[in-house]
Amino acid sequence: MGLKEERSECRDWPVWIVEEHQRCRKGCAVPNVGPRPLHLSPANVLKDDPMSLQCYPPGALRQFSMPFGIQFLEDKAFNRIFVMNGGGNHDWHFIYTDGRAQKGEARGNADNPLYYGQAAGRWDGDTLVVDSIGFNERFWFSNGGMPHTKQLHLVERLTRTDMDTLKYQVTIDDPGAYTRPWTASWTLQWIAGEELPAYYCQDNRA
Amino acid sequence: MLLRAAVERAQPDTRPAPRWPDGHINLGAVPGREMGLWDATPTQIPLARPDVASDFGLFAADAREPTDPFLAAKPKLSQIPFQPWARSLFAVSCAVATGPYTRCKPSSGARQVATAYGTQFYEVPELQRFYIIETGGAHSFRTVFMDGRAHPANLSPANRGHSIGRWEGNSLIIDTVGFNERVWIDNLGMPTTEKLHTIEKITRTNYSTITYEITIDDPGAYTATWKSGFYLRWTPGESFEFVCQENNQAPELIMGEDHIAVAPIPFIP
Repeated sequence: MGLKEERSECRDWPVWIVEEHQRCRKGCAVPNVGPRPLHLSPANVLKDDPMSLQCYPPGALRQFSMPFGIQFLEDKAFNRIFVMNGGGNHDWHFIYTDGRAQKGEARGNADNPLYYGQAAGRWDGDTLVVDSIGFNERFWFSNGGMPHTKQLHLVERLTRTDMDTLKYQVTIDDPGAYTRPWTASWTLQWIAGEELPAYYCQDNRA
Repeated sequence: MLLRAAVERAQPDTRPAPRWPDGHINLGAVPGREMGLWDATPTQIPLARPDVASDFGLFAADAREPTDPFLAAKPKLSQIPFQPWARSLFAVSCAVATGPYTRCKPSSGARQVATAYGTQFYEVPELQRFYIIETGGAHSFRTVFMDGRAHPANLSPANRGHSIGRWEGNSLIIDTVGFNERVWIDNLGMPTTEKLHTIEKITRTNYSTITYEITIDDPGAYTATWKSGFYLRWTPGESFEFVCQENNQAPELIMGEDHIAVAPIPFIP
């Protein structure tokens, strides 16, 4: 991605993001993780991305834009959906569809902020709607390092529009980082006959 | 905790292993009843020395004489048919114990099944697949193909290899090949090569107990095929988000405080 494209991409972002971006382009050090992971330059991705550098999970919506794919296993007997990642650290998490409150972890843990949040799903016609809160701030939720805070609230809508297409739409509401909710969407393609690969980010780390 | 476990083991669960409507054994939770996980053993036992090896190790410490017939069948370290190089490497691995698991890397075989904080066995009949899903460790999963396929001819060596499974009576049999040489299949670093072939036998003997048996066939590291196994206990509760990379306490919990600063050595993955 060239400089012109980057500036164009940043044009509509809050001023402080653009200023920080421009400052960092001159070679400043930025934290690996923290409340303002402002790594907008492609050159910083491998250096500063918590997922690339330390194999942290591709939290929140980033899991849906990862190479190596994703798999859903709907466990209807227990009203939950396993979301299995082919990329990142090859981890998994639950979307609960049993109507439970979005608080606390299983086994009675405290309300620890999570990488995938407290994900509550429900079917709205042919669309799975997932409402998630309770995120930590230690991950990038997009491949480019879009900032977020603990106030992040996602509403994701997953619609399989035909055999080969899953439309993914997400509304991002985070008053700690953005001045208003905003929405993004893309599609995921079904790859017939493919299995999740045996990829582990950790393989190349000590 | 240990006392309670001892009492539980002294009083076998009389509840039968649950079955699905088609009659085959359910290795997971029963719809309408408590959710649960399979736990191999308490994880807070330091394993810096082989003579305090926990129940989920693949050998029985020489000083121990289990009265349980299943555990008594577990080989002692002196009975494992190491090739000379493998015996030497194991001595280092066991002493250093900086296995892949302690550094958030995926393990396979017995080490995956006995992961900390419990393991889920999840069968999806409509997909003809079985999943072994761990809470601790790498918080990852292994797919077992139950559709009758054979192992591919040209497998790329991988941490978890390629697993195919079938039901044999009340036992699930999982046949796995295609391992790389970086993976550990147990907690103390039994050496393996790309010739490794494992056969795991998972049998739910009652509601709260599984016998996990593993046959290790690796002519690259051992002079003969050998077997081992341990119990898995049903533990009520649910799995949860676990991120090993964050606040990893494995060095303290597994290797002991003296090992916290030990870095991996070149030939231990």
